[in-house]
Amino acid sequence: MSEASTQQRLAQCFQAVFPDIPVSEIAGASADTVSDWDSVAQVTLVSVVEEEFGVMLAEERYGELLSFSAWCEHLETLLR
Amino acid sequence: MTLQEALVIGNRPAVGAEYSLHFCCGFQPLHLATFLKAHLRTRLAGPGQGTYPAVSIKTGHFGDLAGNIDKALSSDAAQPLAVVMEWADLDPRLGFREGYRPQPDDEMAIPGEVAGRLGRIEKQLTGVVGLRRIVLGLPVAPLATWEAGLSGQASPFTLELRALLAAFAARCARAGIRVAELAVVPLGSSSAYDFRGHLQTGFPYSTPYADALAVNLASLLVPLPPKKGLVTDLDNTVWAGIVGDDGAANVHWSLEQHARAYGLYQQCLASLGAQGVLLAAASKNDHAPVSEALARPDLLFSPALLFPVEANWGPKSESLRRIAKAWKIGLDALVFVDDNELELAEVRQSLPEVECHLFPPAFQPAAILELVQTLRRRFAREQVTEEDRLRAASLRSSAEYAQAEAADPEALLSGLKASLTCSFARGPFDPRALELLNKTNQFNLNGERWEESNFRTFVQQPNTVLCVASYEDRFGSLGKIAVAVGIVENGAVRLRSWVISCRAFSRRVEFSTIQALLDYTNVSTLRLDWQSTPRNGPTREMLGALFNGGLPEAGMLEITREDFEKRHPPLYAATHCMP
Repeated sequence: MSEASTQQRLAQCFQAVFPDIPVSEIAGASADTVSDWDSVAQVTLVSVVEEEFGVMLAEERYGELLSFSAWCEHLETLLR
Repeated sequence: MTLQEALVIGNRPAVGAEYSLHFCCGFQPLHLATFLKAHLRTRLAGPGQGTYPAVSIKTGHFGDLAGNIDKALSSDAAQPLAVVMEWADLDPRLGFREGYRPQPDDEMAIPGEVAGRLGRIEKQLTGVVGLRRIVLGLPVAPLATWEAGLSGQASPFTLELRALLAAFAARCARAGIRVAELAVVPLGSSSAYDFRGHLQTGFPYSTPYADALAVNLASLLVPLPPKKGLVTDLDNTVWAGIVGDDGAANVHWSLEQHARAYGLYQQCLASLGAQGVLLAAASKNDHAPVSEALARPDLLFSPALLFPVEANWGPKSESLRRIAKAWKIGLDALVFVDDNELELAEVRQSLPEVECHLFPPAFQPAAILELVQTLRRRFAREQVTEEDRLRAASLRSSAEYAQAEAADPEALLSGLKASLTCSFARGPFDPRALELLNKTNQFNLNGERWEESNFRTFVQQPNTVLCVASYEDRFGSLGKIAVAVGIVENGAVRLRSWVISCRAFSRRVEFSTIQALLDYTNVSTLRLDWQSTPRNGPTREMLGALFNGGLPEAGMLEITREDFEKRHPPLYAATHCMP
């Protein structure tokens, strides 16, 4: 799985959960900059990513996955 | 549908009126609400539509199912309600998420608590089921039980709880609440209950199960219009064998002849016929052997249900055209079943509107069972009305009627001994009226379709007039065949919707209905919200005659009682208005 396609698929997950973020701003999105990024959105994002990538995320990591870049990094590790 | 797809559908721009739903559960509604919104939007948009109406789902508080139901019921009276319960809602000790120290008397105490809470929910829901659509989802989480017992043994405790739940669900279903079938999780997916997710988020279901449950709930909340007629092949479909070659005595459908799956299909035809589904045969055969086979007394359905029987050597598409004409229904309301791929291909090519199904070969009985289940779904209707039962018989009468009409139409009408009964009652809710409004195309004032809660709300407004007309004559009863709904304002009745079943055409029911509306409301003017549609040609023709031609594509038409009296043709039906 290439980095580009992982990022593209992750971006689609973000688009589904945060439809108001412009596509061009997804790469820089974080819980600090996206007002809709609350606990329900985080749980939804986890489920969408798990479904998309066929992975299972550990609950203790949820608190660290609060930006697109953090998600990318974590997925790269999981999928390696 | 994946969760991501559901979110994307839920995010699409909304067009048209909003569909509003109360969704009550005691858990975190999370992905179930997401899937439900997506499936509702898809169903409300209709097949092939690129635009989606808005769907608003109001949820309640975590852990308070009964309170959430109370809150929903205290709001808008006509809004639909979806209730999904889990065991923890019936007794917290039954939940996996809640911790408690098991007590020796749990087995005695818990069923009592469950019965009490089920009783309260039943009272809440059945008290209002006449006013709004209610759908109910039942628990699927495993029961937390710590009892002793053999591995694989069902304990009296769990059996008692399941019995309480089943009896509750049956009472609710009898009262008119739509109880969702237990959704089937797709093969290869995780189970319905997701313990990990439940612990982490309070949402108890796996995403595949949430999707499957949402499909069931959405189909009960917004049922799609069923197909109307089934045209079936005969050889190697209704029976095993070729009647023209083997002879009527040597075609089979019994277990002894290894042809039971064909008998099952015959039972399916019997069941569909009893529900008012129109049935006909289209077979490449001579008429004589077909008639002989259909006269066999051991058939598992009444061959009288098959009308017409097209036994000839022409293209099947031509037979289907004639059948649709005899039934007076559109080709898009037809389902065609044949064991021959070539015949299906010919029909698909000539009549793309017709839904075609292959009847599987005899060595695939499981596929035949699947076809039977598919057909049941394609013709599924909420309830079988008197009109459904009358439909097939009235079509036969229509054929006789058409013959008599061709000889002398005016003499026929004057000698019909026709009676039109117009009911102006605005309650209780009449599903047949809504069904007619939403499925009639040819005599339809403007093609408007009604969402159930909007219809219920509209008819309860003080100045609304609702007329539901039933018709019978010497050829038999046609049941409820016309609906007009509108408002009385400024000395006029203004119709927002007006439909007449095509089975009642040529009887001047349309004029008698106007007469009844003017008489009952005692107004001097009729106004019609007219809109031409691709399919309401018969309405245009009738209104063209009444308004002396030249109808616009859309707009409000107006006629005074005086002009109506001058322009309508002689009316022979005895008309009765009932408040």
